[in-house]
Amino acid sequence: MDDELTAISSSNGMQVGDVGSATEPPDICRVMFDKAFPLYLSMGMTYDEFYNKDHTLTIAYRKSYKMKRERVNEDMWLQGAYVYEAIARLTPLFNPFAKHPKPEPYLDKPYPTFKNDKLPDNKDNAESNAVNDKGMAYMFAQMMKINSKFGEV
Amino acid sequence: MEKTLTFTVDDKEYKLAFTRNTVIATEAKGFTISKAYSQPIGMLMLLWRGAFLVNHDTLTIAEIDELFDKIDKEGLMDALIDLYKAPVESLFDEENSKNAIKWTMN
Repeated sequence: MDDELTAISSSNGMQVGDVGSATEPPDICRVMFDKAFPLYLSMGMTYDEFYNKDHTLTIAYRKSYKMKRERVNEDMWLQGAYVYEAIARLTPLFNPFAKHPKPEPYLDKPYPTFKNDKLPDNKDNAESNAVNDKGMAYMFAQMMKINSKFGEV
Repeated sequence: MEKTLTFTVDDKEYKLAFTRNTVIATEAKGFTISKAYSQPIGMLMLLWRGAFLVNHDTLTIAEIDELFDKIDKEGLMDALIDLYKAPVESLFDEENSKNAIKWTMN
């Protein structure tokens, strides 16, 4: 079939190499594809996918690559945040005027990955939450007491 | 999804398309977009034959030519050029073209 295609182009007085403008190479698409291919290869695309399969796959590969890069960037940012947090918790040790410096313990749990996840709680927070709950219960009881007085009047 | 040009002849469906390899093959046979409208007859034929390489590479050149004789040629060149350009265009970011300056012709 390829030979027949050649025959047609020859019969029209065209030869490979004598088409296109003087500045445009005759195999401009091949050059363009060969130039772009290593990039897509680095994104995990195979030769067959790039040259023989649905050409819109390159769009999906580019989007996927951007998402991967964003994820890596977020992971690195998170790692930086943990390092920052760890150093911040150690700062009491660096206080030259403290007699008995005590570093704060590291986070019990990692930061929440998703919106609905709970914030990390360490023991101190858990204790303070329990105290807060007690206080709230007391306040509520007092409010009910006062309200009931007004109700009597 | 890749762009395809479909038509049915005698209950047989033909799907014309280009992959990057068939673009290269068509180009190697002498097709070039810059000559598409200045030498339409030869170029249209090359484009037409090249578009069969993806899904119908078992067809003979005579069969392809026979289909060409039967097909409505109105807008065929533009449609085939669209198919041909698609593998090239998919290498470029569509976001860039979205941000491009829009123009109108009166």
